[in-house]
Amino acid sequence: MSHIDELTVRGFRNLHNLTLKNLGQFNLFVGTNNSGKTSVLEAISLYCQPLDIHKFVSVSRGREGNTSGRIPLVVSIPWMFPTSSTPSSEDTSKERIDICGLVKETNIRYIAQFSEVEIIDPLAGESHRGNRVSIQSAPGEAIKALKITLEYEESLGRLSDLGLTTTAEEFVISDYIKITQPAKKRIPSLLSVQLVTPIDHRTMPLSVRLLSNIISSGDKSKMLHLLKNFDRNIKGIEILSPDGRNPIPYFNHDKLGFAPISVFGDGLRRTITIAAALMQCRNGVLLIDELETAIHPQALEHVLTWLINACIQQRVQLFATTHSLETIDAVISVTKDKLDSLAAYRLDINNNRSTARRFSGIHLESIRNELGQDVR
Amino acid sequence: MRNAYFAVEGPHDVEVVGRVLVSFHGAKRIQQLHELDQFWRRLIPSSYPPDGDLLKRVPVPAFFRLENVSVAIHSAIGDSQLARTLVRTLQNIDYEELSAIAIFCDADANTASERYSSLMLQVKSEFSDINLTLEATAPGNVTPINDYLRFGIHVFPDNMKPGSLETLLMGCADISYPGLLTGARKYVDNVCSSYKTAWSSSGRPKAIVGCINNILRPGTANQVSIQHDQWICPATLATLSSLQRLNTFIMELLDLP
Repeated sequence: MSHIDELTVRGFRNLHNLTLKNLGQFNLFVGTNNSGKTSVLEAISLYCQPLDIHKFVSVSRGREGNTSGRIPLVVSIPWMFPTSSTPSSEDTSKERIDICGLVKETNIRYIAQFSEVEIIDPLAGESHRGNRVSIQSAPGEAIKALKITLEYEESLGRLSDLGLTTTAEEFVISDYIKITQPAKKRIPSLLSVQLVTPIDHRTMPLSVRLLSNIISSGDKSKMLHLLKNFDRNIKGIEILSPDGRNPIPYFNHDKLGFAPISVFGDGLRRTITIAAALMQCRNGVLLIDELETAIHPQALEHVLTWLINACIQQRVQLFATTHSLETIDAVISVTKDKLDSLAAYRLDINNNRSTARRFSGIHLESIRNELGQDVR
Repeated sequence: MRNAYFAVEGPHDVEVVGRVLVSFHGAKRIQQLHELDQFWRRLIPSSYPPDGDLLKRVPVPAFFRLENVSVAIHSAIGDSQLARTLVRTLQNIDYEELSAIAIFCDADANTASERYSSLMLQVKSEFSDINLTLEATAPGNVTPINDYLRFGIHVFPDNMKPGSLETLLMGCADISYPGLLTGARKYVDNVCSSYKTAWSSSGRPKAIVGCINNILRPGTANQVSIQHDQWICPATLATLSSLQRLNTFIMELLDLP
C-alpha cells in the first residue's frame, strides 16, 4: 500500500533533481547533516496539499517551532525556493519549487513561484499582535510582501500530457495581513498529511480534540499498552477540567493519581504526539523527522511495532528520517515479515545535485543483519 | 587513490589473494582502523553478532594498500553467498568510485566456464537499485565496464580445469614443500574411506593442505601459514602456471606494472 509511488523534487530548498523511486509504505531517509532529509519531508508535505497556503506558510516556518523572535515570512518563504544551481557572486536568483510524482497512477506536479511586491499596510499605525511583526509604518506607506503562485497539474498515467488539468491559486502575503484561503475555490487536498518535527512534543500543546479522537477511535487500550512501556503505572488517559472551563489531558497513574500529561517525560509526549498525528492522516501520509527523538532504544521496538501496525490499519504511508542505527535496526525488525513494504534512501548532495541511494527492505535487512554494515 | 573491491569465497582465498598483493606488488595490510581510507568505512561492521548468530565470523574485509590502489578483499563465507555479498556491498558503498571489481571462486567439480556462467546468473539476479551492469567475457578475463571500472571473475585453480584454491596450493607445496606434500598425500590417501564419505570434490586437496599447514604451523589455521610460509613466493610464481594466471589477472585488474 503506497499512496505516493514515485517522487522527483526538481527544486526545493537544497534539493535539486532528487528522484525517489519505488517508494514503499514505510520509507526511511538517512544521510549526513544537511543532506536534505528534512527538506524531503517538507517537500512531501507541500506536495500533498498543493494549493494550501497555510501549509505553505507553516512549512516555511516549521524548523523554528512556536518560538518568539521568528523571522518574518518575507524572509522565511524565499528560503524554501532553490537557489539557481550555478550562482555567480552577483546572481543568486531563486528558481521555482517544482515537485512531481506518481500518486495512485496519476501524475501530479506541484509548482510554486514567488515575486516580491509592495502593498499598502492595511494595519498601519495599529498595534500588531500574534504572528505579525511589530512595525511602525505610517498610514498609506508601502510595505514588502510576496506574491505566491501555487500550481497543481494532474495527468493520467505515465504519459505526462494525457488529460492534463491545471489548477492555480495566487496569494499576496506579508507578516501584516491575514492569510486567507479563498473558500469558494478550495479544493480537497491530494492526500491528508501530518509532519511531526523533533520538537513538536515540547512546543506544541497536546490537543484535547486529538486525544479525544484517540480515545474514541477504539485505540485507547492499544495506546495504553504502548504507554506502559514508558511508565508501567499509567492506567488510563482522561480529559479533565480542574477549573471547570478548560479541558486538559491527564494520565490516570497508579502512584500519582491523575497527573497532567504535560508533566511526564519526553518519550511519552513524543509517542502521543506521533499517535495524534497518525489519527489525523488516515489514508494519507505521515512524516516524522528524526524518528528516534526522545525514545529510549529499549522502547523503540515497542513504539515502532505499534506505529507500523497502526499505519497498516489506517492505510498511512510513512516517511521518516533518522540518524540512528538502532532505529534502522528496529524498523527492520518490526517489518521483518513485510520487508517488501520497506524502502530506505541514503541522501547526499554532490556538486549541487541531490542523490538518493535506494535500499529495498530485503537488501537493507541483509546489509545490516548479515554484513553488519552501516548504511547511514 | 583508486579503490578495488574483491569478493572471495572464504578466508583462505582472502589470504592467498592478499599474499599475492603483498609478496609480488609491495602491498601493505591495513590493521589499524585509523589507517583505513574513509572510502571503506561503511564496510566495517557496526553491529554484532551477524544474523544474531554468536558463532559466526565478523564479516569484515581485509584491506591492503598499494602505491596507488586501495583494495578490500571480502570473504563471503561460502560460494552460495558470493553474489549476495558482492551486490549488497556494492550497493552500500560509492561503487561509482571503484576502479576494479572482481570475484574469486572455486570451480569445484565443474569446469571454470560452467562455474563462471552460473555465478554471472546469480550476480544478475541480485542486482537491483544499482545502475551498474557487470559483464566479463570469460573466466580470468578482465573486462572494462566503463572508462574507469574493470571487472573480472577468477575461477580457481586456473580458470580452466575443475578444482579449487587448494589445488593451486598443492601446486605451491609441490615446489616449496615437496617432501611434506608427498607425506601428506600418502597419509590422506591411506586414511580409512569411512572418514571421507562426507567429503566434497575438493575434500582431498583441502585435507592435504591442512596436513602440511599443521606441520608448518601446528595448531594454527591455514591462513597463518599462507601469510607467513612459502606457498605464495617468487619460487612458486616462477614455476606454477595457475599462480601466474592469478597474478596476471590481479595485475590487469588493478592496472599494475
